[in-house]
Amino acid sequence: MAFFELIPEDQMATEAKEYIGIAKKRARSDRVAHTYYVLARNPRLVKAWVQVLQELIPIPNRFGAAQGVAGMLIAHAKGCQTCFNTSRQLLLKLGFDLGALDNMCRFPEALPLGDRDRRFVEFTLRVARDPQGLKTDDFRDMERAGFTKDEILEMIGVAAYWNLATTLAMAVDAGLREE
Amino acid sequence: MAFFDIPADEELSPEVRQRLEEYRRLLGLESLPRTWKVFGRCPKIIEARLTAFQNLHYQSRFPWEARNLAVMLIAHAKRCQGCFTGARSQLDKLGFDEATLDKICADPEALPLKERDRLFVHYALKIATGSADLHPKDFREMAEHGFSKEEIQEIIAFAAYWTLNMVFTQSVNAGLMEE
Repeated sequence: MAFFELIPEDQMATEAKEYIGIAKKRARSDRVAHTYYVLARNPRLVKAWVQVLQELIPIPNRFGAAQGVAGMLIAHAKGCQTCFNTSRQLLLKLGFDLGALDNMCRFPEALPLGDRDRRFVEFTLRVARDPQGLKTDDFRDMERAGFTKDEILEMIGVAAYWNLATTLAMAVDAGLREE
Repeated sequence: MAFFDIPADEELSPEVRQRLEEYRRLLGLESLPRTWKVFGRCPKIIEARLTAFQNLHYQSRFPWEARNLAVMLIAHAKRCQGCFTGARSQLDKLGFDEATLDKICADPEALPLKERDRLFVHYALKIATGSADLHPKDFREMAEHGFSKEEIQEIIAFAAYWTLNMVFTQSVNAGLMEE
């Protein structure tokens, strides 16, 4: 038996249901990650998570589908199956095929994206994995590639969001595993 | 010269100013950390950070002292100097001396707290630094120590918040360093 249980929607507090509804709309799906249904026990946590998602990764946003690629690769690097699946499902709906996504995961250093999108994904992945290792030159390189300072700050926001989401999802997933 | 600049107060919108002031007031700080003010021209990021701070860190059933000890240890493990200094300054206000805090960093198991608060710190640190390595038995163990499922979820969210916040702090600190 798993430690955590999924709260059915008809037993959730209105607030949790409302914010899960927003997450569903974003995912273009009638179901979202299990993590939301577990955390529905604490509506404040679901509300905060969705609000943070809305602010840091708004839809639409200036980085377009590259956002989804960044999410998939960060989840892949961190070993978060839930965030990985969620990002992949969204990318499939946006027209990517499975083979192309698998190749991106295998060769993240050779992404078949336009230069701007590729730089966005590489930088965001780097910030999410090793923020401590960043140097001033990394920011200068991004600026030389045409990104504004505000865009770079937004990329930091994207990377930060995925650290929150992968930590939440991996911890909750561990509590959902059958013993 | 640093890559990022800190916007002057006059450049900030009244909403951003109000949100930053709220953060400063909640923490009882004399002035705002640069790692927050640097986002002054990005209202959505300020909103996201404050929402996460208020709901995942500030509002909590665990004591302020234990939360700040957890932050100090997570920051120490992740080498986030900004968060480490912030937590130490809160602990200083609570009457902890430098030598005691150094000793706790060297041996996190030796926390001078009640058993329940010590376990809160232990689990928050474990989740923030290794959510991929959690097992169902970790949650059973927490429940055996008297933590309810709601409380365990709160600890997960607390740890996740700090993984988000440390990406913000470490990244922008790199861009605020003088060359």
